[in-house]
Amino acid sequence: MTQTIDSSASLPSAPPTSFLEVRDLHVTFPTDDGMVRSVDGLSFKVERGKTMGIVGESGSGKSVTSQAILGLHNSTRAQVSGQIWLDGEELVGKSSEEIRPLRGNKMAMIFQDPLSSLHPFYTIGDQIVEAYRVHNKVSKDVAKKRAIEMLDRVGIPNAAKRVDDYPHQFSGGMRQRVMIAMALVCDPQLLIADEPTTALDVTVQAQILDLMRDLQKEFNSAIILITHDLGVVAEIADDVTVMYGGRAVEQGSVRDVFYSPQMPYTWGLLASMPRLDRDRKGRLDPIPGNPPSLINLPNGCVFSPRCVYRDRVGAACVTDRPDLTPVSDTHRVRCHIPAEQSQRIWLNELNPNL
Amino acid sequence: MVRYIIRRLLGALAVLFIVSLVTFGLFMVVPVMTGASPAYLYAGKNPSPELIANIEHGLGLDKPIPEQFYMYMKGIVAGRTDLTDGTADGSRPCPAPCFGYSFRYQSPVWDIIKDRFPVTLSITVGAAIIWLSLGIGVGVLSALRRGGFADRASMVFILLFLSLPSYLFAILLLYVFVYGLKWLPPTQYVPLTESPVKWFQALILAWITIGFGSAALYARLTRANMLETMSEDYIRTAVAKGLPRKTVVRKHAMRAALTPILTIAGLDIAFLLGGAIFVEKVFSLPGLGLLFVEAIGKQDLPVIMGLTIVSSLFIVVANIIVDVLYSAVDPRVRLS
Amino acid sequence: MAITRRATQFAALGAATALALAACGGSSGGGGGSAAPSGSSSSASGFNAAATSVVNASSKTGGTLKLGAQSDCDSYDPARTYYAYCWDLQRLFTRTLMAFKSAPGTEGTAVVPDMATGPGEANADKTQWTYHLQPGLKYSDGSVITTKDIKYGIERLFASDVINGGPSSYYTSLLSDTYKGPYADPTGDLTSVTTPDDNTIVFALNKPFADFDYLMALPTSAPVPKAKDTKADYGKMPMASGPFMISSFKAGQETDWVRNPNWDQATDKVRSPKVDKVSLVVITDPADADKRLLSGAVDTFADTGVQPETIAQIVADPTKKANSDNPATGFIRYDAVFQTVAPLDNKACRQAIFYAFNKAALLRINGGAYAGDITGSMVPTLIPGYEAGYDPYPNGADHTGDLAMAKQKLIECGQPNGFDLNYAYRNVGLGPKALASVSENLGRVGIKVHGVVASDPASYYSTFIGSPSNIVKLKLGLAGAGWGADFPTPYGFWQSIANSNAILPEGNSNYPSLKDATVDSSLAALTKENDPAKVADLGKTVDHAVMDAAVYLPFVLDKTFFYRNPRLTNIYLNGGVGNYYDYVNIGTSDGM
Repeated sequence: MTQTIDSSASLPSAPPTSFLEVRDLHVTFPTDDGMVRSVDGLSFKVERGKTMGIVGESGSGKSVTSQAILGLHNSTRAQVSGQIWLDGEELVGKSSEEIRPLRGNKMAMIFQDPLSSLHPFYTIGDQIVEAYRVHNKVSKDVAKKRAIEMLDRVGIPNAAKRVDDYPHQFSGGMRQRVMIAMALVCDPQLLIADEPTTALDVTVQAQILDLMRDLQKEFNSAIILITHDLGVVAEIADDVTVMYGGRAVEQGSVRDVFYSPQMPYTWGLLASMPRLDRDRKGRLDPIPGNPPSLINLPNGCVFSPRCVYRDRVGAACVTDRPDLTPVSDTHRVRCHIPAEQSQRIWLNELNPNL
Repeated sequence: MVRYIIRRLLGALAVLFIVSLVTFGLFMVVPVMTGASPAYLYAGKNPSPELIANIEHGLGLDKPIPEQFYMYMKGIVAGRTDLTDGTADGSRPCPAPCFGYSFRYQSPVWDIIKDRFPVTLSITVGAAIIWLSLGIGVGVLSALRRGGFADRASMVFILLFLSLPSYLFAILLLYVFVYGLKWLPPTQYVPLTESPVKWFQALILAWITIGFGSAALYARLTRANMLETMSEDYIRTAVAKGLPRKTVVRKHAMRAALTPILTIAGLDIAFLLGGAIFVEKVFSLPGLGLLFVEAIGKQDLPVIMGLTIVSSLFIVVANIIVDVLYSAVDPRVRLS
Repeated sequence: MAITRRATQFAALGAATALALAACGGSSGGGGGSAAPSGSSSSASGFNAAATSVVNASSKTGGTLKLGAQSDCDSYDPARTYYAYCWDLQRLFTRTLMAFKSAPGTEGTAVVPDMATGPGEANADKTQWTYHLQPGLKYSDGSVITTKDIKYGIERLFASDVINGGPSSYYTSLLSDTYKGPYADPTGDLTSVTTPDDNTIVFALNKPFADFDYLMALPTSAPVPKAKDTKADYGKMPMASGPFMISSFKAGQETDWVRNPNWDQATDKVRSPKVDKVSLVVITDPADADKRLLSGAVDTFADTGVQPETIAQIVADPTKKANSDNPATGFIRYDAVFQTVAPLDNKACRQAIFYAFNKAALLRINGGAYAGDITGSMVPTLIPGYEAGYDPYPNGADHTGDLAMAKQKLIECGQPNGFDLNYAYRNVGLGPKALASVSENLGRVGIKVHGVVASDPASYYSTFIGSPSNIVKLKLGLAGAGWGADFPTPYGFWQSIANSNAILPEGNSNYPSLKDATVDSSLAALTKENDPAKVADLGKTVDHAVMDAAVYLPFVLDKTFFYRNPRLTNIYLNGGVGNYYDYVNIGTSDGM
C-alpha cells in the first residue's frame, strides 16, 4: 500500500505544488481520561479558486482541522504533527507568534455563529478596522474607508452609516456578511468557513453561499468549507472530504462523492439529507448509533459499530483498520467492502430510495 | 438617557422614602408604642413623669407620630426650625439636609455624619484600590496561566483569605506590625489634610484587612469570568484576525470579563461607604460604622435613622451609577 | 456579595446603663484636706497596693498621662455626664464646692471642701445649706468664678429638654417643681437658690437632705458662667476651673488636656497635679486596648478593666501582677424577687429561692474570682453600713445552695414540690447564661424557671422591670439586675431601690415595690443625719430590714481588673470616684 498518503513512513518532505496541502495531520489533546485523537492522519489538497468541503458529524475533527491550519492550537496543550503546507510554507511546528502574521491576512476564517463571534462591545467598523490595521500600516481613516468598502461589497446596505453600529443591531444574515467582510478585508488567499450558514435561515443561507461563490471568483481564493450539511457542499464545493472519527473516510470530487459514494457512512449522510428536488419516497434515514469516543477508538473500521453492511464483509470490519484506497484518480475510500460491491449496493439498493 | 436617569432618580427617591418610613417605624415608633421611651436613658435615677415628658419634648418625641415623620422628611428636603434647644424662641435652625438632632450629642445629625464620613471614605477608597488591583490582577493572571504556577499560587491566596476570618486577620496584622515588628504606631486616625503619613499609618491595616479579604473574592470571580470570556467565540475571532495576544487579552477579553465585576464593585463600595463597622471597631477608626455602634448603644435614634438613610442613599445611587456605566460599556444594554 | 457585613452590635446596649449606675461608691470618712494625697505615708507597691495606699509616691512633675478608653465619655458637659470614669475625669478640669478627698479606697469617699471654704452649713432639719466660696478663684480664661455661676449651673439642670443625661433629678426634686430652666424661662429665676454676694450661696430645699455635701461634690453642680453657656454644645469645650483644661476634643476619638494657667494650687486642697498633659484616646477593640496597655502605649485604661484573657496573662507574670489592682467597683449584682406575684407573696417561698440559689455559678458566669466577690447582703463595701460576712441566708460553705433549707422553706410556704417561676432577662450579654444557670439550680428543688425576655433590651430597666404593673401583668418572679450608688452614702444607695416613696409607675428602681416601715423611717432619718456613726447604724438597719423582707437576692459585688504602667507615680484607687485611679494626682516617673 505504498500509494496511501497516510503512511507516515513515506511522507514526502518536498514542498507540494498545491496552494494548500495537508499531509498526515494528527491533532491530539491530552486529557485526564487519556489522549483524545481529534484528527488522526488527515490529508487533502486545495488549489486557489477551488473549494474543499469537509463534511462530518460533530466531533469528527472538522473544526479542529481548520483551527490547526490557523495555528490556533499552537499555544495550547494540543499536540499537532504532520505537515500543513500553505503556499510553499510549512506551518506545523511554528509558534503561534510566527503564524500570527498569516492569520487574517493570508488565511482568514468565518465562524458558525456570527453573533457570538463578534465582540459585543465594539462597533463592527472598529472590529474590521482592527483586523485591517493589524496587517496593514494605514491610518484609521484609510482603514475605515476600507471597512466601508468591504461592507458595501458584501451587500450591507448603507454601509457608511452602519459601520458604526454594534453587532447586536444587525440581523443574523447581515452579521455573517459582516464576518465575511472582516475575513476578506486583507484579501486572504485561503478562507476557512466553519459552518458559515448553520445558524442562518434557509433563504439567507443561499444568499451567503452565493456571496461566497462570487467573492471566490473575484479574489481567486481557496476555500475550505466545513459543514455537516451535504446540501451546502453540493452547492458550492469542488472537492469533498467526508470525515468520521478524526479520519477521512471518503475523498473525491463532488461528482464522485454525490453520484458514486462508496462508503456506508457517506451513504448514511446522503440518506439523512432532505432533498427538495425529488419526490420523497420514504422517511429520512438517520444513521443509527452515536459518534465514536476519540479516546478509545473501536478496533477495525472506526465506523463498524454503526455500519449496517458489516455482515457483508465479515470479521475484517472489526479486526482490520481499512486504508484510504483510491478507486479512481480523484476518488479515495476507506472501506472493507470491495469497490464493485459497494457500487452495486449504492446503485441498486440505496440510490433509488433517496 | 437623561429621561432614564431622571426616572431612576425618582425611583430612588421612592425607595429612600420607603426606607425612611420603615426605619422611622422601627426605631422611633415601636419603642414609643411599647412604652420604652429613650428619654429614660437621659433621665437619671427616679425620674419624675414631668422630667420624662420634658426630655421627650426635647427629643421631639412628644408630637403625634405622623407629624414627627412629616417634619423629619421635610427637614431632609427643606431643613427645619422647630427643634428646641431651649432658646427664647424655642428653636434653632437645622438646615437641609436635616436629619434631626442627635439625642446624645444634641448636634445636627448631618454635622456628625459629615464629621465622621471622611474616615469611612478613606477606609473605603484605600481598601477598594487594594482589592480591585490585587483581586483583578491575581484573577487575570491565574486565568491566563491556567494550571500553571501563578494559578496555583493564586489559588492558595484565594483559599487562605476566603477561609481566614477577617477578625483574626485584623488582630494578626495588629500584633505583627504594631506590637511585634513595631513598624506602625498604634492606630489613631488623623485626617489626610493634617498629616498624610499618619493618615496612611492609621489606615493601612484596615485597608489590608478589607482589601485582601475582598481581593480573594474578586480574584476568584475575575478568574472565573476571564476563563469564561477567553473561551468565547469572539476571542477566537480576535485571535483568528491575527491580533497580538496582548491586544486580545487587554482589549477583547478583559473589557468583557471585568464589566460585571465593576458592577459588583460599585455596590460593594457603596455598601462600605455606609460604614465599615468591623474594621472601624478593631482599628479604632471613628467612621460611620463606629458611629452606628455608638448610636445603637445610646439609643440615639436620629443618628441611627440618619445613618440608615445615608447608607441606603449610597446603595441606591451606586445602583444608578453602575447601571448607567454598564450601558456605556456594553452597547447591548439600553437604558429605557 | 458584601465586603463587610453590617454586624449590629447589641452588646453595647446596657453597658451604658451599667456604667451610668456605677457612678460612685464609698463611705463617709473624716473631713479636712491636704494638697498631697493622704493615706499610707510611705510608698507601696504590689498587687492591689493602689486600693489601700499611694503607689510610687513621688514629687516629680512633668510628662503626659496617657489614658485609654474603649468608649468616649457620654459628655464633657459636667451637668450631662453620668459615666463613673467621666466623673473622675471631670476632677481634672472641673471644680465644685465640695469634692471627694484625694485618698485611697474608703478614705476617698469622704467629701471635703474644694472651692468652698468649708463644708456646707446646714440648719437643724437639713433643709437649708449655705456655702462660702474661696475668693479669687478663676476660670482658665482668667474670669472670676462666682456663686452666681454655681447657681446658673444648677439652673441649667432644669432645662431638661436640653441639659439631660446627668443625675439632675436629685437637684430638680429638691429645689423646685415649677421652674423651667434658663432657656425656656430667660427672665425667671430659681428662687430656692440665692446668692447674697458673689462668694455666698444658699440652697433652700423643699425637704431635708443630709447628704447635700455629696451632691455638691458631683460634677453636676459645677459652676457654669451664663455668658459662656453654649447650651447643647457646652460639652464640646466646657469652661475649666481645675488644674487642667481641654486643649483639643474630637468626639469619639481623643480628648487632650493641658495645664490651666489660671488655676492656683494654693486654693486647691484636693488636687496636687504632677503631669503637664493628659490625653484620653478611644480604642474600641478590647484586644487592641489590652495590647496597648501592656506595651506601655497607654498608661492605664479609664473606663474598663482588662479582658479575662489578659487577666490570666497578667497574674501569671509576677512583675505584671505587681502593677495591677483588682478593686471592687461598688456595683452589686442581684436578682429582684417580686413579692407582688404569687406564690412569691409568701415570704417562705421567696426564702426558698434564696437558699436554693447557686451564687458560685453566677460568679463563674460573671467572670470568676477576679470579676467579683460573692456577697450575702446588698451593701457594697464602700457604703457605710457594710458588714463583712453578713449573710442572713447562708447557702452553704461553697455558696452553691443549701437545698435542705430550701426544701424546708418550700414546705413552709405550702409548695413542697416547688412552683413555676418566670425569670425576666435581656437577650444580651450574660442574660441567657444567667437564665440557664438559675433555671438549672432552682430546678434542683423543683422550682421550674421559665425565661421571659425583654423585647427591647434598652428599656429593660425603665419599662420592663421598671414598671410594677408590667411585672404583675407578665407574672414575673425573678429579674436579674444591678445597682450602684451615685454617691457613697446609705441614703444614696438605698433611697431609689428600697423606699416606698420612690416607687414610680415607670422608670421605677424599687423593682420589687418594697414597702417596709423600718426601711422608710430609717431612710427618712438619714435625710437629717450627718453623724457618721449614726449614718452607718441606720445604713445597717436598712440593710437588715431589706434582707429580712427577702425581696433582693444579692450574689456578686463586682470587681474590675486594672493594669497601671509602672512609670506612673502617686497612683491610687479613689473610693469616692468608684475606685477608679485618681487621674488628677497621677505623675510619671520619667517626666515624659
